Amino acid sequence: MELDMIRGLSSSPRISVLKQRMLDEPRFLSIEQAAIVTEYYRANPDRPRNIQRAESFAETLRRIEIRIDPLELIVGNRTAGVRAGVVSPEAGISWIDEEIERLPVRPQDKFEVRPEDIETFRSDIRPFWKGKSLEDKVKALLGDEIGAIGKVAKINQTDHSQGHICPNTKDWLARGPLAIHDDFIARSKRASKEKRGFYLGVATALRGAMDYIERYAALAKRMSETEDSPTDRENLREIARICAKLVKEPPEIFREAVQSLWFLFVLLHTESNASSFSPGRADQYLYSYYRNDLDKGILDRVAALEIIEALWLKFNQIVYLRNSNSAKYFAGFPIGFNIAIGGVDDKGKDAANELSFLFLKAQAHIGLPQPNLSARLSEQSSEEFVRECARVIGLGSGMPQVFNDESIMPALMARGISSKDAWNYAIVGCVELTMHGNALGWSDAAMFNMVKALELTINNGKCLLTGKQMGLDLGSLADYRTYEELEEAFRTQMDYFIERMIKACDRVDRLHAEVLPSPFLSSVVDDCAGKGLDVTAGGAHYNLSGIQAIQPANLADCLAAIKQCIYIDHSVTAEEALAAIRSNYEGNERLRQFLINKVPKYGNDVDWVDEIAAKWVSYFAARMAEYTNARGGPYHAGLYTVSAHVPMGQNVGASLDGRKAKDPLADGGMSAMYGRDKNGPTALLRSVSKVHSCDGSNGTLLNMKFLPEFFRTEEGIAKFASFLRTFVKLRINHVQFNVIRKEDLLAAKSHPDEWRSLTVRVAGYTAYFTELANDLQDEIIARTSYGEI
Amino acid sequence: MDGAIIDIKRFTLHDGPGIRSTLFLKGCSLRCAWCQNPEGVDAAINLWYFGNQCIHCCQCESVCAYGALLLDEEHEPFVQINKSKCTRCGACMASCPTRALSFDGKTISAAAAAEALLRDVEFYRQSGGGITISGGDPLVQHDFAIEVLRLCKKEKVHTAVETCLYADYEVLERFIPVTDLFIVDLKLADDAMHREYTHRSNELIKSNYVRLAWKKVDLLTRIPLIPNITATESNIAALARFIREENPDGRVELMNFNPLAVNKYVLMNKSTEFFEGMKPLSASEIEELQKLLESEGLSVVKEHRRLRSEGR
Repeated sequence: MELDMIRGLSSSPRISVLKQRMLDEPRFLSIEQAAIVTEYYRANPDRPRNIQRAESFAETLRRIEIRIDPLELIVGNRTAGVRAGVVSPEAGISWIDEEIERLPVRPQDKFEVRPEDIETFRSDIRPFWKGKSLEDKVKALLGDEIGAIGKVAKINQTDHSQGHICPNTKDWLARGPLAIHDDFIARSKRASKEKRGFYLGVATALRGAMDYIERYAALAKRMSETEDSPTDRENLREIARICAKLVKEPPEIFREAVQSLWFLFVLLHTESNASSFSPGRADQYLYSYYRNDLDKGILDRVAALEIIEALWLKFNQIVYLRNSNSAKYFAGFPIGFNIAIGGVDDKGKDAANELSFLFLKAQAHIGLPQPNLSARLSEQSSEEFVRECARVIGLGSGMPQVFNDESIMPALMARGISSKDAWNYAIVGCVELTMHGNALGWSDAAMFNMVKALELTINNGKCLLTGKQMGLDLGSLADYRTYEELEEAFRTQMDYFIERMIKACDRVDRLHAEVLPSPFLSSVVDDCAGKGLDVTAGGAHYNLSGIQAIQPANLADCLAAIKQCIYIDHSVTAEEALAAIRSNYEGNERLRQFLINKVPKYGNDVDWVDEIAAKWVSYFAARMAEYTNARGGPYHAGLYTVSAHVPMGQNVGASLDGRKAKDPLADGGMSAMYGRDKNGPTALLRSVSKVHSCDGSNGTLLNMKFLPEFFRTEEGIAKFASFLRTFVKLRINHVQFNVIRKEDLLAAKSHPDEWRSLTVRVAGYTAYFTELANDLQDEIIARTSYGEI
Repeated sequence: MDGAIIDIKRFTLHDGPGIRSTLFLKGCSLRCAWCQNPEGVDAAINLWYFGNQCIHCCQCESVCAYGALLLDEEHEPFVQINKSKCTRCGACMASCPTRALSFDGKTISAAAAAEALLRDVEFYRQSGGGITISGGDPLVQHDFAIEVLRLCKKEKVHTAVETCLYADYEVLERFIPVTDLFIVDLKLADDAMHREYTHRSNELIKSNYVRLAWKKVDLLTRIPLIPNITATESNIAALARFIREENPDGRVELMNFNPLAVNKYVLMNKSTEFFEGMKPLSASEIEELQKLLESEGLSVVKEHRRLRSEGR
């Protein structure tokens, strides 16, 4: 590998210009696709749903406005403007009706709105979809139940397509849309009558895809004819050539492959408007194109890096429009183009190659929220690779985040994944684990708030915030004679909500298959073709559902306080504790401080406390394993909140870890409550390692924050690399780092204009700091940092 | 065997190679005017009051059986400790909901100290790190320190000792078999100044330094840069000559003054007069001093580090 050469590469002027243009362009709400889709459905009300989906998708691709910037090396977007908020009426738009005027001014994820679009939306689009969208159907079937259990078990995927899939990009590149289309046509001819419609739907979607690529070829050709600049003219001609070729043939050279990859993801987002499709292990499946071009002498590393950086910019042009509540949970419109570099190959050997290093270089240069770059580390990882990751982490864009092959592969295999698929795992969304090209992981089915379940357990099933009877009345803290009795009651309370949660998840899952079949997506997920089943109906080889257990840190801290103070040393009575949390510690700051300071906390390498976290996570994971989802696959547990620890905390009253009512829970998933891990990063890692990695097979998230000084010297980089290696040894699934000074964050908060491109790690993804809501900014500033060491 | 310790700090990165944990022992033979860890000077454990953490709940006064605490709403500090009445029973500390009332250390066994130090052994293995004993000065509680070092060596962990070398050579010599790296502080070449600012002569320190260097142990020399006192051209040049003669292959590191320690004096109600107007040296000032060391042919560790002050 030519690592020294790669290390010396710089970013091209073309890339800087494109980046600046993108950041300068305002972000708009876009109803263009919604209008086309609505028109289609109005004219074709009686076709089967999968055909409606395929035809309206194809219609969109034939009509939607497209744009090429003559400087672009890689072209394509789902709207003409960049970073548009695309409206998807089939999934759910009632919230847009309510919030459309506020989109430009809401606290999180603002969008400009054209007045005429409000008019069209209200008169034309919204009325047609009433009662027909996924959201409305979920509401009709489950509305009350979702509300009734929501503070403990938040059911997700109720108003948008699922996404969170790593398609088989390798196969898409190897065959191209035409060959895949022909395969589906051939299968339709052999298929039984009830399956034929599925195959024809997929073929229709693929025909639309080819027409769309063809339109780019034509536009580039037209533009080249009037372009004055010779270099831009040449570039447009090359774009025209590549696009024309990709309509019919698979790519052969590196730039063609990257263009083909990007079209695939634009198409997936056009069909589903979902929050994540992952390229996955792109350094692996793009490598042969790269290597061949280098060997033939038709590509050098400078040009390869420019193509990669052009793709990196493209990843930032698609954002995901969420309602204001969801934007609180997933702030900064994470879209989850997750790329997993490095890792091991099928023989267990280090798989990092030159592309892995070029991807890191692109990340160092671009430093924007997308792609969500993930590095897979193993005991086989080379020192160069680990150090290069450390160096890029030190630059502060929050990436790459780090995953651990040594713990994740066994965790997946424990869920019934074959070893052949486990070694090839990738990441979707933020930190969710997936197999490559053959799985619908449904990784964010729900979030289970264990801290709320504990609140109900010690307060007669009543919500501390509203006094409403929400759970089972099993007694109060004063009624449980022993700690074990309390634990038993807690278990019963958890079971009660788990049962209701799973039922609701199953129904939502089935409604997706009914309302949002995804024919195009089904063309790039293994086994859909063979089974003749849409991916939403269980067509994928693996069909999991992931539910997050939230939040081990707070739960352990609360239970440790109860155990120590009430049942062991009797320093606090149960009545006193109940009175304190019922009054939100009003007039009892002494007890609150006592609980904070005098009870050991999760994250400090105190075994008995950490083991409480491990115990309940294991319990939750074991319960999940008992259920089968609507697509016939297993449920499993995840340990991440993204930024949901803020709104999830708003649902919880004062807790016995000294947290006040509605304050955020611990961030991330595996992190300690902020400010409570006092023994440094090694102690925190050791605490986290006590939670069994197998119990977080859906994905786990650990946030750490280091000061930039740490990365200033080669010695610091080397120490950080050894820190990462110990993380691998400790068998922790995931860790990510914010490397930024507190002073910089404070400055960015007060002078957002000067800090527009500053990115921070929110939780499993990176966002523009200045585009985050105030409370989330404050919370990030407050997180512990290690550095003055 | 028990020892009095200030604290164990994990993930220390500047007290030897790799990722480390450092044990701070109580007790020091010198009385440096600029001491950065004044709570380490006294070998005994004392009760302290940190007003910035106090929530004025007044519990402490009522639980003290000896009348050693006086609450004063009018004056700072709010809680006054009568040291002659205080038996260090810890009742007030247990009732204190914050850490406003705290001991400045604790007594633990060598086995417990070693166990705590070895918790991060995996980090040491991956990084080539290990454990460091600092203080105070480890030579004061030498039996305890040696036992902790021995227990860590048994686990094949790299060990370092940070010391001012003020002890009988026989004591120092016993550290050699269980210590991989000696981090030695030299402060002032001139003995009169040494006496003035540390209350001790530097004769014993110098002779120990020479004998240690002769033993060919791994030796890192550190010089604290205290403006206008140790950080003068004449002092650094004189120390450089001494080191070149006795330990020509050794590495030398200059440690910049750290103003954070002043805060600790404030919390302890100690006079901060000594620190008035004192600022850390600039990078260029440090480079000038480093050149003096290099001109004697010494190898200089060039991180711009500050003296450690374990803040609260």
